[in-house]
Amino acid sequence: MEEFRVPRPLPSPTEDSKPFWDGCQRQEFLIQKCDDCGLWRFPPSILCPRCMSMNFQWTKASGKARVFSWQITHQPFYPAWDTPYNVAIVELAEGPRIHSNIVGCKNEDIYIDMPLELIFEKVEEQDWYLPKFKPASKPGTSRKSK
Amino acid sequence: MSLRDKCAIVGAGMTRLGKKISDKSTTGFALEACKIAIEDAGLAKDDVDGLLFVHPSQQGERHGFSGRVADLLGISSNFNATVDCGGATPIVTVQMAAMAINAGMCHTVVCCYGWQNNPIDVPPSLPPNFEFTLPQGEISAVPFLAQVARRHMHDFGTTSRQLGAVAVTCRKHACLNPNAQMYGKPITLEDHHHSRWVAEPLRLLDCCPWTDGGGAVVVTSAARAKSLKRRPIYMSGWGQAHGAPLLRPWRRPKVSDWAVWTRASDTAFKMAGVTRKDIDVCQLYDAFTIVFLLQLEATGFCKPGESGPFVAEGRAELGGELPCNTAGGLLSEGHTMGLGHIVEAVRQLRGECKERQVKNAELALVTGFGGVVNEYPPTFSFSSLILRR
Repeated sequence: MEEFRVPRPLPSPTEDSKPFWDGCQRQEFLIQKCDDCGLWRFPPSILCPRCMSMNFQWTKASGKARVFSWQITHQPFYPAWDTPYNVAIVELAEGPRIHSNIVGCKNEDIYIDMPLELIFEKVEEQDWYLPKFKPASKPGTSRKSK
Repeated sequence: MSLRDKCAIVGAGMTRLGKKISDKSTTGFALEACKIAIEDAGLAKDDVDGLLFVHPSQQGERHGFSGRVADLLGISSNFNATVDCGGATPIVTVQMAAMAINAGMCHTVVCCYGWQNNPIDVPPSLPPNFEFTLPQGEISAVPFLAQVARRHMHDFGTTSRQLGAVAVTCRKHACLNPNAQMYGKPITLEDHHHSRWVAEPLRLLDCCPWTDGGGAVVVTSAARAKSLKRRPIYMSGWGQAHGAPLLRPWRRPKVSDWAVWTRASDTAFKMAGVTRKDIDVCQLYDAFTIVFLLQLEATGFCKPGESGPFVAEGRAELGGELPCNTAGGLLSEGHTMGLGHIVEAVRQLRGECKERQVKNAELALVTGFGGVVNEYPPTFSFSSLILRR
């Protein structure tokens, strides 16, 4: 018999964040960009925290990023995951930082400033895509190396 | 108009602290703490006309705590609020009390905290659906502070051993405080090193325990304080600073730059008219060892990156140049969201601390730190308070 596993919790979007999550389901990585000062911002918000403009576009981001920091969760805080697993704060090439997971490499191989690229990954057994990051496929793709 | 020394803390007290104390609710611990603090001040409950409650953030949507606690205490209050800035809150409540008293809204305010970790009326449930952290698997404050610790290590070479020195220092002090949750349980650096990972690079002994219990302090005007039985402990200066530095790189290019967030303490020192050199004893927020290091930097006692060696050299211990967290701190006295830090500062300035007393302590700095870190963006609140006898 297969071992029962608690399903992974999915995001509950708000009115402000729904376009971001809807984009992810289409595998489009849409981030808000201010029409007036040009700032890319995250988390989703109705106004720009730099110039207070309410004019913005949901704009496709490059998907290039690097590791800002990461941790390895060992304590099973919630039984939907097998421990240990990583959670990283990644800095997008456009500037904002977001929480995600590094996939496609061992936890021991993660390092600060590691160049990354976006992939969308289906949450196991659920019809929902989350943005994740994997090591950049070739050198020269990270913001730092420009 | 400066409020320097215009108000004083005249009563302070803690309930019993521990793991799985199942005879009181969150409200019950707050009520008991209020009683202890009011009686400590030599006051009757009807002498109190304001109540502020430190918000217990994780017990479901329970509104109006402050009103219920005041009514159950049997007081009719003119000033009342439930306040939520995470671990910065206890200091924020005493600041608000002093401001309300000086505004003429009320004359005596009790600021209280209570916490029951395993309430029988609330079933265990999934953590709230923080859309940008929970689906990614980052749950509770420990993993987030682990991200911070990792970055501090990367930027400054801070080591796990230096974090361990924080844990050992606090535990050493807790072993001089019979009411501390970890009283009689000394630890060594080796114990820290061998404790299990919770969220790497933080180990079990980098984290404070879960604590059931409560604490409270009574604030009144300096004029009224002079007529009371306790030596008044004056509120000389205070400050706050808030923001979300980790997620706003266009404002704070590096995580480590939050050490420039000395503005909560800068405001307090300016208001009090004293300098860092004048401080005799410190109570710095320490829900995790890394938070204590950040506090040493955010209060300006250490430059960014110097806090780890500072603690490892024993300089934050009793007998060292800056005795800190003399009751054991959140790490070892118990997690009372920092309310215990205010109570301990008052006791040090009154000279009540026996074996752990800092000789002739005249001036104390207390800090709070609210890391509200599973919501997005994760925010930080710094609060500071300078007390003098």
